[in-house]
Amino acid sequence: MVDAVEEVGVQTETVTRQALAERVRPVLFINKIDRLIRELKLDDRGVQEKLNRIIRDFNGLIDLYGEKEYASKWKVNPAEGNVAFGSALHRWGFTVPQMLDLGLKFSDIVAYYKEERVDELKKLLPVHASVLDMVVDHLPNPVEAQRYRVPKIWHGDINSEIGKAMLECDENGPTIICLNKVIVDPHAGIVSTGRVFSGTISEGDHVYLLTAKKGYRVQQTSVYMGARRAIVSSIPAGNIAAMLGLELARAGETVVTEELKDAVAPFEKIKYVSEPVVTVAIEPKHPKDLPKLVELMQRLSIQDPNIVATINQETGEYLLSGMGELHLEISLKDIQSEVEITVSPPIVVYRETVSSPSPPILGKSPNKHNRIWIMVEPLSEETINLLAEGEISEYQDRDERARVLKEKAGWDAHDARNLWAIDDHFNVIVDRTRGIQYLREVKETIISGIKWACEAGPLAEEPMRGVKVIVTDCQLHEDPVHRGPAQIMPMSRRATWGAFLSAKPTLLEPIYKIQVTVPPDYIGAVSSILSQRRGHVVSVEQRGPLAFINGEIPVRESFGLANDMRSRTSGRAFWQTQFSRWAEVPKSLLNEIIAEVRKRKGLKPEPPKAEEYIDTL
Amino acid sequence: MSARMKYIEEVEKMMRVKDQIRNFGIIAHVDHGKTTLSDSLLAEAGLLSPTIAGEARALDYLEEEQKRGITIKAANISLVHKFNGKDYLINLIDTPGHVEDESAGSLA
Repeated sequence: MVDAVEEVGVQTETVTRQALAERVRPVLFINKIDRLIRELKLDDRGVQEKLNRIIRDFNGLIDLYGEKEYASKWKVNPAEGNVAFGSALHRWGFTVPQMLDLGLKFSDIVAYYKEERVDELKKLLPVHASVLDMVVDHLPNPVEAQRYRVPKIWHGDINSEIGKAMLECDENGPTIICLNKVIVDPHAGIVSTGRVFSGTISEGDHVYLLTAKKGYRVQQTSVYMGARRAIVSSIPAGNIAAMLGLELARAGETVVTEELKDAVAPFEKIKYVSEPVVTVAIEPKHPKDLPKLVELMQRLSIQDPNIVATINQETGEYLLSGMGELHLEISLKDIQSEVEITVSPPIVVYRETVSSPSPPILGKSPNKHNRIWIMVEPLSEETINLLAEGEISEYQDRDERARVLKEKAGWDAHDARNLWAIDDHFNVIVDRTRGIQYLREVKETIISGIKWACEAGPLAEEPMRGVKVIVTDCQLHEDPVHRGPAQIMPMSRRATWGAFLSAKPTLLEPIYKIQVTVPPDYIGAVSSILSQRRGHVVSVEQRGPLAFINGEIPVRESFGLANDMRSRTSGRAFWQTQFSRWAEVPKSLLNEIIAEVRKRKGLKPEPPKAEEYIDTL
Repeated sequence: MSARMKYIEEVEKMMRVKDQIRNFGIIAHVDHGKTTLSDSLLAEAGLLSPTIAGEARALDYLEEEQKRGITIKAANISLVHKFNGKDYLINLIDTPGHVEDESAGSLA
């Protein structure tokens, strides 16, 4: 769906890209035709020109982000009836074939508006009929869709019993469900909703959540009808089911029948191109409200996968991270309706990374009986992309993963086969040791220690990103008593930090893509606003009466943008921002930002020196 | 039997006829009209009276979202639609949108 006035923007691009990545076939609805006629005063030719441009841009996205095989088949073509346009507000819509059937021309639609006979349009063809006809006629039924979508979104063995059942959308096969939405209902508790890909889900079924690694009994099954659920006894493959009782369920979770809990791969994780890059600290006005606040924050993070709620153990701050100022503001309203709170100004989230390889760094356990040598290096851009696109994951078959790493990211054979772990922020742990005694017993503890080091790096205790952590050597005490987690965890963390600080560490900051729509007179004003805020203009395109400016701006500099834009464009600018990428913080700002983040976290302003984390023999 | 019960019974039967099922989601930039369109679809499924659809915004159940007209939370709905003489069960999956967006002013 695209707004006819604003056309295809960065957010449309993002959501279309995601859908195509999951092999979802598109149809297009172009909305707000009423505004083209009433506000922009376009005639029928002007309206058609706009529609053609939107269709061309939309097909451009399919070309850009669709897989070759599907891109050509999935492009939309108004003559075929897979593009509808209309006004959802005034409740009318047509595809070109629908117009031809009714003997309508574009000039007639403009005339209906000019003559204030809009109500007649919705009698000719109401928007729901137009859109639903298009959906039925041009989108696949679940049997067709699963045949080509399952191999893309599920990486298990397609020839297994469950693989075949999913391809055929078999309601008698083993049950497997991919959750797309989890909400907290004040009465029913956690309501998990998702698509049944195979089998049938019924009340009382015993199921297992593959990510949460937990089994439950389904307490109730229902289908959503608007905001209300209607209880049904069972829901077969191809449909959308709502289930009660799966306490630890989150969006993206894979639910399977309990018998198959160890035998099935999960669905591809829903990959959010956006990341929570802005944080606020929250405090209740009255201390007695604290438990309620914690509960509300938890509820928010369950319901919105783009919200992260954390508690800083050291400072006792309650932190809520989201995609931007507005996103957080809306989420906070939810909390404010129940608890009085004070909210800090928005804080940017950073990442820590390295820009060169470190030598192997020695770390000793607190009892000095164990030693580990760790080095770090920047993870290649190719590897980060493979991780982001889900081509490499921890769940994957080891040989398959090694093959992809070698072929697509140029890894050497040994490293590719000995990848130990991958964390949530694109850091990987690799084992380069040979024949170390007792290593198998402490491997998981070493991984935990390194992950702990990566969760909060030494510069500003922000998460590391894009770091390859390599264990090069290790000496372990023969007595298990002397190589317990209390020894191995701190040793592994310490050596990782030591290596990190020896590898030219730096901070990454989040950058927004920004698209501004303004009358051409204001292009200069917008461009100067962006450059004053360390941003820049990437392109300017004039489309009819409006200029579309694409640019970038660091999230740190985006706070308060609204006031600036409003005053310097006389309120004529519309804009959208969207997380785009992580970029290195300019050298001139690095120390200032590190000190600022550290002070907020109650740390001393200067980061530690490498020597503090390097042991000697 | 109430109309709602009848409706649910109908939906239960249709869940088994797979070639007459369509699952689809509406994806769009935040204020390109996703909620308004969803409401129009809902209204015709007999779940919301047409006179209040468009204003009622049945898919957002948070008051704040109603005020701003922005859908953050997603719900799923099932509805029935007749096409070329056959009834189809349509599952509308309301996908989580990407919400960071700021907008001010007017083009008029």
